[in-house]
Order: sequence, then structure tokens, then C-alpha cells
Amino acid sequence: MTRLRTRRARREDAEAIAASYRRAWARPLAAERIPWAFEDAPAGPGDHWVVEVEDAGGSPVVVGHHGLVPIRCRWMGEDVVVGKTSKTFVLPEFRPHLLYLRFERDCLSEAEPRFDATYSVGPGAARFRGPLGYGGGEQMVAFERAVLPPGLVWRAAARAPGATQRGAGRWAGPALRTLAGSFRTRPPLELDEIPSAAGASAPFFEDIGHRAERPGVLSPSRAPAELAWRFWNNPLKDFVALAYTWPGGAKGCCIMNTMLPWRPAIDDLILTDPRPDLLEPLLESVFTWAARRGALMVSFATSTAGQPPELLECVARMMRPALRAQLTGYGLRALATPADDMPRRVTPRGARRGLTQQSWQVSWYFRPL
Amino acid sequence: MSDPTTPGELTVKPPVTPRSLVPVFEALESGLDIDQLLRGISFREAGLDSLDIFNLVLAVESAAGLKIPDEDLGELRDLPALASYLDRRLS
Repeated sequence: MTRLRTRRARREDAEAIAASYRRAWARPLAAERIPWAFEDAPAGPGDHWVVEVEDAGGSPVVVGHHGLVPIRCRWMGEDVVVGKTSKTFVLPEFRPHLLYLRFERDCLSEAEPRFDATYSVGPGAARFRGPLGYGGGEQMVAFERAVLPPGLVWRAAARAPGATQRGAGRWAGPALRTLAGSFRTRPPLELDEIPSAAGASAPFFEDIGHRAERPGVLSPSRAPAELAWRFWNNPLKDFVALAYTWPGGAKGCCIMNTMLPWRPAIDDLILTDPRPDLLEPLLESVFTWAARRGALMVSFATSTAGQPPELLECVARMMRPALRAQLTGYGLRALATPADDMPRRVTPRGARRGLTQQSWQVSWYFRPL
Repeated sequence: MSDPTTPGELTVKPPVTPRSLVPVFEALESGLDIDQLLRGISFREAGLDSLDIFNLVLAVESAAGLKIPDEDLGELRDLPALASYLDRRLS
């Protein structure tokens, strides 16, 4: 008989949780991401639990985990704390021995007094967590935009078999010059590039979070402490903020995740004034920045609920739906990445404060954590 | 009048046989091939995922009036094993 035991996780479990997670999902996970997510958030320590089994020597071994990362959000001018399900897994060989959803239900009932709402992001999350009260999950939309470094076409032509720089220029020169000229090499906005190390002290972020809040809709807090946790002190460390202040004072910023240098991702997009005439040059300048760094594309995923339609239209005009999300339509289901759901659940505490499923009309233009 | 096939209103009493559990499976409306289950195909082979198993265990617990601890789940691989387990627990 396999006897599994569950208990609350502790800081010292981080290495064991990460090792087990890597085995369960065959994905990398640095151990320092665990205390970062569940211990060090500005909204307070998160709640997480481990599933253990005893090994042959009687020592406990972590074989599963579930957690709720506390994310401070703003709603009706107040802070609310929203928990995002995170690092959920049980090693395959132990799944038949644990009624997983009962475990998560017990975790949720233990933790929910300190949350106003919880949510989950992932393929099939709405169906899987439906019995726990999660619902109303629209799908996330993934966008991509190809960008081409201006010199790439020339370099490719020069390296073609038998081609010399002169030869390549002779046969392809006029066409390539035309092509290269179509790529914008000067961005419409000269963006300030703020690396992680400078993010926490950058005056740019002192007021942008407060100014970007929308009355009556839920949005993640962009207070300096939250941004420092999510980005500047994130163990990933590979974030760059591209910031701009327009004459008149409007501010815009894309926080870029550069872990994949060839495909930087917009992890957060903040605009103090939700106007497409500001968003368009901001995005265009981000694409130029990416091209100059040698990237091949820029990606961006967002929830559609509650976004100003004119901003979504602007993004849809400037970027394309991600190819990996479209492959199913071409009969390549095995290669396709299914769209993420984002179901949510309002807790009794949130309900007492007036939160409902409908107030989850979020105004966050970013992929949530 | 309430639907007589609501899982919460079903009862399971000894002697429990695979066939006596059929109403519980039918009430789940999971689209399962009950005949296959009666022949002993495992729940996993029949296509039940962890969500289906969760719903099944809750329905069975409700109908039988008992709690199935996690450590017993491993032996509940198929319908005959589930019936045997419930019969043992309820007798």
C-alpha cells in the first residue's frame, strides 16, 4: 500500500519541490523560484503544500506540490489579494494513489480566508478546476510579431553557397535594398531601456501603477514593491523595461522577458492612458528594439476580458495570433500549444467586499505571472 | 420532483456487485461504455482522467455513505475491484 502524506510546505523544501517538479513536467525550474513565489511576495507569504511518501529508508520524499501565489491587485481603489495556482503536480507513479482534486479542495478551504479570489491559468484549467468552484474563464490569446534584424537579409545572402558579398549584392542587391528599406530601422519613439538592476530605483515607476489603474475593474498592482518582486528581484533576472513618457505626461512601458533572446516576450504592458494612438508607436518601437537585438519575433499573451476593445484591436492589428496556437487548424494538433484558460473563483472574503465573477473584468494587459 | 438519477440520491448497499454500481456511473453522464467497464476494463483504459475519477469517488462516497481514503485508491482500478472494495467496507 502506498501511503501519501500531505503537509504545508516550508522554505527548506524548495530544492526537493523543484527537483520533483522537473521530473514531473520535464521542464526546468530553479529552486530559488519556490521561495520567491511562496515566501517573498509583497502580499505576504503564499500558501503551499507538499505531497510526501516514505522511501525505503523511512525518509520522506516530496512527490507532489500545490501552491497559491499571493498577488496584490487593485479594485475600486483598494488592495485585494488574489491567489494564483502555481507549481501543481504529482509524480505520475503516485497519481493513482491520491485523489488530487480532493487534496486541492482541502488546500483551498484552508487558505481561502486570506484571499479575495483565486485563479488559474493553463490549458483545460476551467474544466479541471470546475468542481472546485472555478469558472468564467475566458481563454488567453497569444500573439506574435516577426521582426527581422536589418542586416540579417544581407548576411543570409552573403552566406548562400557560392555567393560572395559582391555576387550577392549583384544578384540580389536591388531587391534586398528594397526589402531592407521596408523594415523600420528608426523607432517612432526613443524608448528608455531600464534593466532589472535599475528597475527598483527608477523614478519612472513611482507613479505609473497608480495612474494606470482603471476604476471599477480589477488590475494587478504595479506599485514599486510589486514590480520589484515580479520583475527586478525575480530570480530569472532577465527583464528589461522599455519606457516612454510622452509630452503631456502620459506614460507607457513594456516589460520584456528576455530569457529567449530570439523571442523576447512582453510580460507586462502598462499605459497610463489606454489610447491606441499611444499603444501603436510604443509597440512599434518595441519591435524595432527587438530587431536591433537580433530577435526574430516578439510574443505577447493576454486575457481578453475587460481589456479596452480599441487596445485589443490595436494589438491584433500589429501582431498575429501565435502560430503554435493555430497549428490545430492545419491538422498539426500534436505540435500545437492549446490555449490557456483563466478560470477564477471569488472567495467568501472577496464576496463580502463586493467582488463577483463579473468584477473580474480585468484591466491587465499582461500574461499573469 | 427531483431527478431520481441524481448521484446524491443513489444508495449503494451490500451485497455490492459491479452491476449494482451501474446507476452511479450512468448518473455521472460521462459517456463511458458501461459494458466495457462490466467486462473489467480499467478506469484509465476506459478514458477516465483525474477529474472523472474525482467525480466518481465523490459519487460513490455519497451513494455508499463512506469516505474512501487516498491510500485505498490504488486498488480501485476497475469496476469489479471497486464493487469488491465497497462490499468489503459495507459488510
